[in-house]
Amino acid sequence: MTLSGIAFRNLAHRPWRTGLTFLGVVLAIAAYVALVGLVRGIEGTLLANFETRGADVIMTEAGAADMLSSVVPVAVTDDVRRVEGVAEASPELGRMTTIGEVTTSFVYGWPPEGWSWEALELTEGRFPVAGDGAAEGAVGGVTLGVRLAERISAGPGDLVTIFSAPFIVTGLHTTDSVLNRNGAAMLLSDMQAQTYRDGFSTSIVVRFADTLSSTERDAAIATLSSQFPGLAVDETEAMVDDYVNVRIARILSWVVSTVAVVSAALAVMNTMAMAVNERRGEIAIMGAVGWPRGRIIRCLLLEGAWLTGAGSAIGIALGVAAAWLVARSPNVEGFVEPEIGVSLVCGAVALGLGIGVVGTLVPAVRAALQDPASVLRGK
Amino acid sequence: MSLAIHASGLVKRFAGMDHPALDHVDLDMTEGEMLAITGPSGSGKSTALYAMAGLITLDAGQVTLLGEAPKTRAAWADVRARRIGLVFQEDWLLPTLTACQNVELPMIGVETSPTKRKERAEAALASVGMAGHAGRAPAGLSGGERQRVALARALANRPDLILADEPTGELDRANSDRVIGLLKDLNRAGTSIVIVTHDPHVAEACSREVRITDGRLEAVR
Ligand SMILES: Nc1ncnc2c1ncn2[C@@H]1O[C@H](COP(=O)(O)OP(=O)(O)OP(=O)(O)O)[C@@H](O)[C@H]1O
Ligand SMILES: [Mg+2]
Repeated sequence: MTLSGIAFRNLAHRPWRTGLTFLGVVLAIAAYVALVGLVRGIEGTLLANFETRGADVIMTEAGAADMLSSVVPVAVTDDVRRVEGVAEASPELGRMTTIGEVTTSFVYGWPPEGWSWEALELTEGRFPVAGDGAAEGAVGGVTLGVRLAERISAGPGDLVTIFSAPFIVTGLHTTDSVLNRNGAAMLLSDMQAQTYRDGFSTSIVVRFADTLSSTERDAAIATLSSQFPGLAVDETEAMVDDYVNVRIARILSWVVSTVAVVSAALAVMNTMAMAVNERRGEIAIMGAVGWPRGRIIRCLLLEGAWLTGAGSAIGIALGVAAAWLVARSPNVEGFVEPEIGVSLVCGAVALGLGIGVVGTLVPAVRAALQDPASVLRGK
Repeated sequence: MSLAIHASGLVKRFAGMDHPALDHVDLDMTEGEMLAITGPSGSGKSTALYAMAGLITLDAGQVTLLGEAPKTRAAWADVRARRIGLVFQEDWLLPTLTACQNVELPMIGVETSPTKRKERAEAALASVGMAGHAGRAPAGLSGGERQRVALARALANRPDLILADEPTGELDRANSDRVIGLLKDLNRAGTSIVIVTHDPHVAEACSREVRITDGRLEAVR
């Protein structure tokens, strides 16, 4: 007979109460893992979107709520290129629109010489060129991300409707970014024509020279900011950090998982308080046979640890499954790939054990402090 | 002969009582004695016994047990674990553990090997005539059997002193005689024993008797 054996038996002795509390822990940990995993996924997705293209800095309209509502004249691109330290700059027009049955696809418009194309790896066909599709009655060419193509079952040579106009598919591409695998890319001029944005883009994507030191890089960013006061100059990571939707998602996930975790800790505390209360005699006898207080507390903490340790393990599994289910649901598919790494799992385990310790410590200490004599002398 | 218990000037007051539950109690008990503490209900018998086990904090006085005078709760716990066996009117067996596991309880922290703990628990159960019941849950045992398991638990760490608070209080004559017989056997083998009791039969079985009235202790024989 060991301490943890005693703890386990006590839990097994009350299967319903243990089961319900266990469920509370499982759900709290699952909520935490799923929500945080999805939010990290959103951040990761956005970051990958820029990073796969080797973008160092994004310039958008100052004050715009997000990238897609920003308006930037393409004409400033040449001035940006002339700034010391800038290797390349390219205008980009981004929109979110419906393609086929897929309601939320990112479409990018890039100039034919823009280096953003390099980030897309063609799996079939070629990138669009001016005049594509004229023979088929289309307004231009487009390449589709492989996942999008799969979902709308389209391939090279097919016509797809984007911005209410027919485009001919010239190729399929893949990338590290789930947004682009579910998105489409076309020539900037075609997109401007179809979305009434002649001469405008949503951002200018800037790449610095590889040889830049970090001070030179900071200097280049400062120059860009002062030279273009109407534009916000953001490093890609800061950009993702500031993205208002990411911030909202982060806060929501924090609030919801905190509520879940606190409720679970209270449930554990309630269960352990009840358990301790109905076992006053047993705890007193432990003291009477010479158990030091520390061992009594440890025995009860082990009970909480069994409950929340096993609950965390199942909660993590459930959270991973839930995050992927959400990411696969039709409204969200293509936006998010949950990011559930070692650090998140370790965090969840720590949180679970934290719930166990916090929920158990107070009842356990109170139990160990009780006066065994008054319990044992009977009625 | 050295003293199993040397208690001097024990005072314990409880709120709401007009006289102390223990009123300057002095008691010396030689090793190897079997002592009965008798007295009317509410006179302070249990309080005196628990004071000797370090289970209550005294307002005044000192207890030296088998040559040790523990000062802290932790020191008292250590002395109880190694040298004292406690028996109560109720058996206080843990319902989730088997008889054998209940007997192992005091050995946790004293005997490190789980196999040895089990062996010794089984031997203790055998010594109280419960060898065949090691794997049974307390709920399935009779009152007399449960009290014998509780006695085996008190014997687990081979104590030098057994303190028993009305150990036969809930037993019929036959079971009571059996438990007292076991205690007498232990006493003959050298264990010092203190029994708090209402039962004249039990008191007679002891080598000496003291009586507590309103918190004051006096020798009877
Ligand atoms: N924890 C406590 N709080 C308040 N009063 C207490 C406490 N423990 C004992 N007392 C009081 O101290 C007095 C002595 O109690 P004790 O239990 O020692 O009596 P006893 O002689 O063992 O009685 P009985 O034969 O009924 O068991 C009683 O009046 C009792 O009510
Ligand atoms: Mg009593």
